[in-house]
Amino acid sequence: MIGKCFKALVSVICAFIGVQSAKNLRYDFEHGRATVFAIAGILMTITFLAAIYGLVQVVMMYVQYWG
Amino acid sequence: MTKALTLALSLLSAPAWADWQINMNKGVTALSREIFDLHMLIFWICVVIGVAVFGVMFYSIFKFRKSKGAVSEHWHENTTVEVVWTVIPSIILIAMAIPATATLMDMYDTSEADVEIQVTGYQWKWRYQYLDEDIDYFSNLATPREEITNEASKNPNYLLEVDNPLVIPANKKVRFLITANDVIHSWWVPHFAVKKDAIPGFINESWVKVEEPGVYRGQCTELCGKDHGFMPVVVEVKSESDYQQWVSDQRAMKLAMAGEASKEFSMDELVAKGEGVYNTACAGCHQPNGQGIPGAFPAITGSTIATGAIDAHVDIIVNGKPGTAMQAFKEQLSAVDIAAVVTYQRNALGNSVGDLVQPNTIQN
Ligand code: HEC
Ligand SMILES: [Cu+2]
Repeated sequence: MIGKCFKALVSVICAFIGVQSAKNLRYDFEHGRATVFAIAGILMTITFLAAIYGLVQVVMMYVQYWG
Repeated sequence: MTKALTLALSLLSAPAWADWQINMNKGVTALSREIFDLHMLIFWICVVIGVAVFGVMFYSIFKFRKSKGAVSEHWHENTTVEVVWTVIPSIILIAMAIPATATLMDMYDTSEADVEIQVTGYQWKWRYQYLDEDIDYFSNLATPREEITNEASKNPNYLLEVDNPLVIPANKKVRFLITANDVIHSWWVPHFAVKKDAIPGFINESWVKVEEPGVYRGQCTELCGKDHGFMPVVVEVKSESDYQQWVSDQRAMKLAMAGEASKEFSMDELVAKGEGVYNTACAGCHQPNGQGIPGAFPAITGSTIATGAIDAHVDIIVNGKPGTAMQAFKEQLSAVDIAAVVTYQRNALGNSVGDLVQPNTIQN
């Protein structure tokens, strides 16, 4: 179960950068469950937004002005 | 052949290029040069990428053409290549974001300004209010009408000249608070690398620190109606001492104007003065001959208001008519100007009512 979820997460990350292999795709369609992918997708979206937010905060820290 | 060659050579020579400038301006401020350098950096990165990508593409198309017996290969994916062409552009984008962010930060840093000026776009003129001084005036197009109607030849600053330019000191940080009164305008001075939308109800900020005194010209750059092309921006950058002199001159002028407003004027004085006011402030809509534009701007000649009760005539100019293009002129024109333009409209442009109004009755 954990392993399957992890594989789903990896597939979602691959989808984020747009690189995936046909072998994995077949595997996902045969063994994966849609809800797992949906949840992984939402988690990744949140993580992505948090990362962008954090990055901007770090950049801002290096800027003296701008409150 | 030789002709074509000479033409090609002359196109390459410097003077020909000067007339053909299509690149961005370097400008006259440290920030404008920073923006220019950033622009060139990104430009060259794009050129290199373009040459590399199209080079490989055209080479492949040529080298592996069908007539040479090339056969297409069928394969689905190559994860390594795909990762490479995802990672490399990401790195390039991040590398470009670093100098771009640094420049943007500088552009938005309006703190610690020495002079603050509110810039307001009107149809079709600019208003400049110095927040620390009691200076507030409008800047109107000054190009003679004969040049616009092709009755006189056009001067080099055609449509880029105003009656009252914005005046700022050199080597001082000047902060602009940019907004508009009616529709969206945009305040643009290419040499300052400043181009900001002027939006009713919003205040956009920008700043400039010009090193060399001089005159710099720009335009409204957001389509804003009939005379969008007739509301230029002219900025006069003065040395610190000249600027101080200008500020005190403005104060003296204001006092003199207040004195004028209590004076009694003759009909001839008012009509003569009113003609000038009419041509800069009203003729754009009501037309120089007072005929207006049917369906859009009423004629002044024979107008029931301009030939009727004088109070109503004064009122429509002072307060405008809400919801129409007839704006309130009380902030734009002095009491003397309003008295003059009312008197002019009643006794010229084909009207001859014969009465006049004094500035001191308009003040209150
Ligand atoms: C931006 C265009 C515009 C400008 C500039 C303008 N007007 Fe008008 N004016 C109008 C319009 C539109 C009306 C008609 C308003 C209405 O719907 O009743 C009008 C109406 C008037 C009228 C009433 C005419 C009538 O018979 O209804 C007078 C008088 C007048 N303007 C004077 C002036 C004066 C003086 C100036 C310059 C200081 C001026 N206007 C500048 C657009 C303009
Ligand atoms: Cu405009």
